Amino acid sequence: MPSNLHRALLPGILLASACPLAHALDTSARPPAYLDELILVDWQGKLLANALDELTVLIRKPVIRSTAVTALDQRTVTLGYQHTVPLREVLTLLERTQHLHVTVEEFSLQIETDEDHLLSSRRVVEINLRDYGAAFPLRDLEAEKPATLPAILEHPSGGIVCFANEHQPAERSGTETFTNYLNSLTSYGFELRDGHVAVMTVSPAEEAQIRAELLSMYHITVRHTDWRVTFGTIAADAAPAGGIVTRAAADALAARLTDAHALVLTSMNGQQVRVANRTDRAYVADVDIVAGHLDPAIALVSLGQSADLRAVTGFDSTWVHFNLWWTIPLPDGPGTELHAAGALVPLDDATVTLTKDEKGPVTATVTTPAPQTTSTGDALVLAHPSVWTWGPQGECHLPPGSAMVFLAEHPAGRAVIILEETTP
Amino acid sequence: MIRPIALVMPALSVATLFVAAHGLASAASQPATLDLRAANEPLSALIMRIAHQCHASLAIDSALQNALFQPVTISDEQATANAAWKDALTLLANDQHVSLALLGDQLVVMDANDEFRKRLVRRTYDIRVPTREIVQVPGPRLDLPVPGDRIWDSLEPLGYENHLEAGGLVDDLKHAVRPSTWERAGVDILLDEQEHFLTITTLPEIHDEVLAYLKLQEHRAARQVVCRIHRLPDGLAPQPPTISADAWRKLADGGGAPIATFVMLDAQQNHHFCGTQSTVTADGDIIQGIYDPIVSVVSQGLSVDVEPVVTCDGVIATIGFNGAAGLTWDPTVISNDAGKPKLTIRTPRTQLDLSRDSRLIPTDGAALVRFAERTYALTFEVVNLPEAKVESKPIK
Repeated sequence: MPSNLHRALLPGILLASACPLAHALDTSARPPAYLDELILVDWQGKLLANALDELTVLIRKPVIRSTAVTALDQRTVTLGYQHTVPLREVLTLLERTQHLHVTVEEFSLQIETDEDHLLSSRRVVEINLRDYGAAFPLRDLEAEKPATLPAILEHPSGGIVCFANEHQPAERSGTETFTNYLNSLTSYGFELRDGHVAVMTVSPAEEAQIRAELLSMYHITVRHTDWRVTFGTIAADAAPAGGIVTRAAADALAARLTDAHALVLTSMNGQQVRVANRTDRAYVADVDIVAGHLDPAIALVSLGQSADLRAVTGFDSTWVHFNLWWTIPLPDGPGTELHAAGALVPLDDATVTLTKDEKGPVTATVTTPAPQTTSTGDALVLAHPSVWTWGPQGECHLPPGSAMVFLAEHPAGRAVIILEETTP
Repeated sequence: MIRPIALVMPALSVATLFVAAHGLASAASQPATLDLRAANEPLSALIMRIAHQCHASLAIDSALQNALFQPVTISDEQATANAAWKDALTLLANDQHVSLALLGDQLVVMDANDEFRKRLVRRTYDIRVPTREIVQVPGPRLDLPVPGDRIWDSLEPLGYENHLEAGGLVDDLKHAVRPSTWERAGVDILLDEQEHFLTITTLPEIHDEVLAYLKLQEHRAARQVVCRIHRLPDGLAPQPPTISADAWRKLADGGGAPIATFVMLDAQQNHHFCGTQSTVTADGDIIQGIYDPIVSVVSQGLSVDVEPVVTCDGVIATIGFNGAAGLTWDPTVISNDAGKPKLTIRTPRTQLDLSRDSRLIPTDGAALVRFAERTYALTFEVVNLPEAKVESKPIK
């Protein structure tokens, strides 16, 4: 090839490869050499049929046309060059401007319409939606809540209910999300078999696009966040101001805490998860009177720490809904009362004696048996635990690399809870 | 009329139209400006003149075959006589529905709508964060309970809604981002039934703008407030209900760490409660001749309920302050006539500090709440996501 002609062609070649719409011709693994042969075409409003006839002569190969292409008898081609160019370039532009598909074979060219090619390339495929998480509808993982003092009492009065206004668990659907998505692809009919296998007729390119989009949705669903919630105390004069801080500052604070305990959680995107490190204590909290006997009522109180989180990954932050809880027994509370309950003498066991002297009024004398001692009745000890408790709850948005530090008063100075995302 | 003749002999007419494309010797180049003026002439003539200005040959989309004969008029204004290349392409795409691209020595002329559809890309966006609901979390009261009555805990939710619903987000998005494109064929925006995901089909550059818009909405939703409560020294001189940033710095100097720090979203009601709880036998009924104890739970500590609203001048906060301290017990023993205790009732006594009001706290300032000799300060730090844009200007 003359050097000056090569230099003239170079910009065209570079622009063609840089064009985002340039695409490779449909060839076998080894493209035939004649694709690089130089030809000169100058079709100015030429009938497509005539242009293809001319091409046949130029490349000395048969150009086989589909029925639909043959039927385009009124179609004209405007495609002209000022100099010779490789056949590859002509065919590429011909495909683009005439909406044709060219299949380059060793000894011939096959030309069909884009629509023909799409229809012929479609075949039945099965997409197992389980591969994209359809069998895993994201469920909130409920667990037993820590028992607070007023729990399980017949006539509870006062007290604080922790975990009030808890976030309602989101309704999740598995396959439905994906079938709704597939339904939105109105150009493909599909059938759902066995509850999770989508059967549809698509081309390889269409299948690849659908799988890529299902994968994208799947990745959003299973995107996970990892969390660490650290509980500890610190002297009042050494306590920080708290708030949203960097993770480095949070980790430095955690290293200074006394009796630090860390709870670690991991959650899928938007899933409610819970972790607890606690001791549940049952105690006799109340008593009912049943047929003259003492019927104890048992209550539970939980001691320790727990964390309940729901996190959703946003574009520039992680939104987290949290319920944190920390309860410790107080060594110097009001104390445990001993309450011995005994039976009172029933009134119908008393005797009434009426006496009357000759001239005086009638006198009624009530005589009751000797009072029964408590040893003859039921005895019961009611426990009255005292606890220190703290339960931050709410929502916050944490930018990447940040943590939330909560503070409260504590017998040892300040109680500190550090909530940080540790997702790598 | 030209068109009927063209239909009879389309090949000849089209060929004639482009005969002037022959004989160009120079390599094609993109001119800085184009002359787009046309006075009721076929589209093909305009295209041919553009090709001539580019020194390029033509490659024309077959879908434009009939459109080439349509008369075109583009007014004789400076803007079209010397239209910048990019502006010229935009005008031709919008008005004449033709897309031009210079490819080597070829001026490729395609149907603009088809080219538009080919570039469409579908992406899915998780919109749960910008549209999350605000859950009100009111705080508890610390009043002494009446034995036997069920006194519940929470203050009333104030119920101020600041929630962008997903449907509203879609409408706002369509208005804010390239509004003229959403009705074009192939462009689509779908919200799933659970209103978690938006699936949008549009051009790549518009996807970038959509993402920027959704990020902006997230930044707006992510505005949050960190509240810190300080206990100031007893016996402090009376102070106004709110103080400025300077006054607070002076007052807080050397004051120590806050006694409470908690966080909430803008316009979300949340609370801090920390304290002790104890059960006591507070009363007794007589059932079947037997004393039936009635147990109550008594709480003391600090419960502060806050709903902040961030404004240009600071934070308007509705504050419910509940402090219970100094809990003491007065025991009462019920005995039988032999002096045997039957039931010990503990009647509690506690000091309550209660207030509920709304205040505008200046930026970096503090709200002061005073009860007898005790003074508490509440500060509100507004926290935005990094690089969040300020969306409103100060009134002053």
